[in-house]
Amino acid sequence: MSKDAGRNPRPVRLDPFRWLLPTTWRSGMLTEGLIFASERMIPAILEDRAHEQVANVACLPGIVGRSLAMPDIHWGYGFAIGGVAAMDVSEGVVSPGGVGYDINCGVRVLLTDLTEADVRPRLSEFVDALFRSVPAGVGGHGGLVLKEPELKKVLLEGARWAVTRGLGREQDLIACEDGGKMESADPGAVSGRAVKRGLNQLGTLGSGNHFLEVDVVDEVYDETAARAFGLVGGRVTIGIHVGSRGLGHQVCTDSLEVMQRAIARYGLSIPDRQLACAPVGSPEGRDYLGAMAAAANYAWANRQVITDLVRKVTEELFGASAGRMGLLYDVAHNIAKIEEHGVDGRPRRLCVHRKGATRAFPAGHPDVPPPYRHVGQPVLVPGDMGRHSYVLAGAATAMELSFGSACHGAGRVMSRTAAKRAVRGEDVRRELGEQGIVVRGHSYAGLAEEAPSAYKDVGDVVEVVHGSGLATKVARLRPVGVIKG
Amino acid sequence: MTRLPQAPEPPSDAGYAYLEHTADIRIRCWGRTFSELVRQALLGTAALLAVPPAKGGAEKRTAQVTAPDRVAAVVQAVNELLFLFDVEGLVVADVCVEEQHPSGAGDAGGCNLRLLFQGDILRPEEGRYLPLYGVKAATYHGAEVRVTDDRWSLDLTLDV
Repeated sequence: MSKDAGRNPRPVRLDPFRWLLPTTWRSGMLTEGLIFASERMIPAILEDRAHEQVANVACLPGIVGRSLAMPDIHWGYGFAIGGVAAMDVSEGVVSPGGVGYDINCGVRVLLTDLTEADVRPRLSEFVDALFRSVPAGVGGHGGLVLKEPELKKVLLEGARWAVTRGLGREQDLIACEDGGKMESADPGAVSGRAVKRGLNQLGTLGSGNHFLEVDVVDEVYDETAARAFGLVGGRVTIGIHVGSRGLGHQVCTDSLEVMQRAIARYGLSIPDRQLACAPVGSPEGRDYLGAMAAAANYAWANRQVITDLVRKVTEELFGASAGRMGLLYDVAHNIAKIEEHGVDGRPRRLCVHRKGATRAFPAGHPDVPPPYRHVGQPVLVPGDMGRHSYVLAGAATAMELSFGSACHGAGRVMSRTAAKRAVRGEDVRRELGEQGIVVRGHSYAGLAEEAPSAYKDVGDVVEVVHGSGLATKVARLRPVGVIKG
Repeated sequence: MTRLPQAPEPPSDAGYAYLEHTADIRIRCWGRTFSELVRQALLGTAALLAVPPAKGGAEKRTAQVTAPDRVAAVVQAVNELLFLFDVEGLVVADVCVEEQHPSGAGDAGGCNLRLLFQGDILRPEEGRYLPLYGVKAATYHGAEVRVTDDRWSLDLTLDV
């Protein structure tokens, strides 16, 4: 925690959606901090003290541009959730705290030809079938059981591993960030412990805030982009939110221990132990990026295996009327990538950390899949289980202001204990049911913790992203069925 | 269960308690020795993972922690427990912690711990035991070992 904590002024308002932490805000800042938020969000951000973490990140060696935070900012470990920072690959550092324990936690959305009228009569049956078919919950075993050599292939091939085994289609890879595979993956950099944790968790949802969600396209804001994305008003979509499970957690845990030693070895000074880091090009830095990419590939394979399960359940219940169930897109929101960005008029290779933040590349960018290149990359922003989710399109302003980044979700405003004091899981399920939302979870305590009242309104978050030009609203999705891990 | 597991009524010289935290779980643990503090951190974490066996359990596992300082030792010890739960389904009922080559209140020379876990194996298909929270890791966030009047204490944040 900042040694100046509690004595510093509010961030400085630059415009309705951007708030600045000048370099004088705390000692050691090498650059400014910039928080994307509305004025209404600022008191909660200050109370949470997540802005201090933005200032801490601004102290990291080799940081390029500002230390950033998206409007779903809240307190994390090292970086705030919603934190974005880019480091020069030659002079900067890479930090596992800038990615998080759940490496490549992300979300994907499947399209269907179903309408709400099609699913409503069988909605409970549909949600129950998804609940039974996709392993979830604490421990979360029941997934594919792999031997180590096969797991190593998963770490190398990512989503393609699943597709080549009949658990998906080539189109799924085209519609996935990075094609569902980071080429820089190094399975040799993944510890034996992490491998052990990954052997029987592929194809599982885990617990906490991970979920499956059945939605209806509720409103279309941008017809051109919606048409490109395949989003049609009234049609059903299915969202999958999960990451790299125990394997990813272990990679982060292992890497933090290595980085603790690297701090001393490279003479680095950091304001927070969770920001332990090493130069990007150092052996420790390269090992972390290799292991992180391997864990990211595991997460993409995980979401692909779950996609196959979801398709099977949907097709079994609804037959041909479900349509092809193509993948709209898959985004990572805890990841570090080597990307080229224009800085002061010249291209620079940067290590971009996004922790609880989503890539949002604009129209024309070569990394946007060809079918979407004329409108921009889909940005998927899930809300809590009682409120809407959103699909946006990356915009050019994001490349200028946020290294092509936008928000990832809503963020908690209430502790788990406070949420469970405020509501009972049985009541959450009943009340959502009265709103037409069928909910299934592995525990009532878990449902209470994940109650809508425990989260920010993602609509407010999206308005900031849209208003600041980072991404533009394309469509709003309304939940009708939720399966909580 | 509809609340965080109730921390057992502690003897005044050792125990753990759960603290409010917006997104995750924070445990305050304390003891008359550093080893007892670590034990309480482990018991407090174990109680979050699953309802523990009432009678100890027949399964035993050992682990060795070698850390640069005491905070790192606590973090690593808890992460050992999380690994055993995730990979083997070990539901820990009790743990013995031995600090090897204790160095007094200071951290010079690092910190080595030997851990002996006792418990049973999670078998949800048999209704043994009830899994509770999915804990990703113990973090360094705000962790500081404090020693006052022969009482060791630490607040540990777990990423859930």
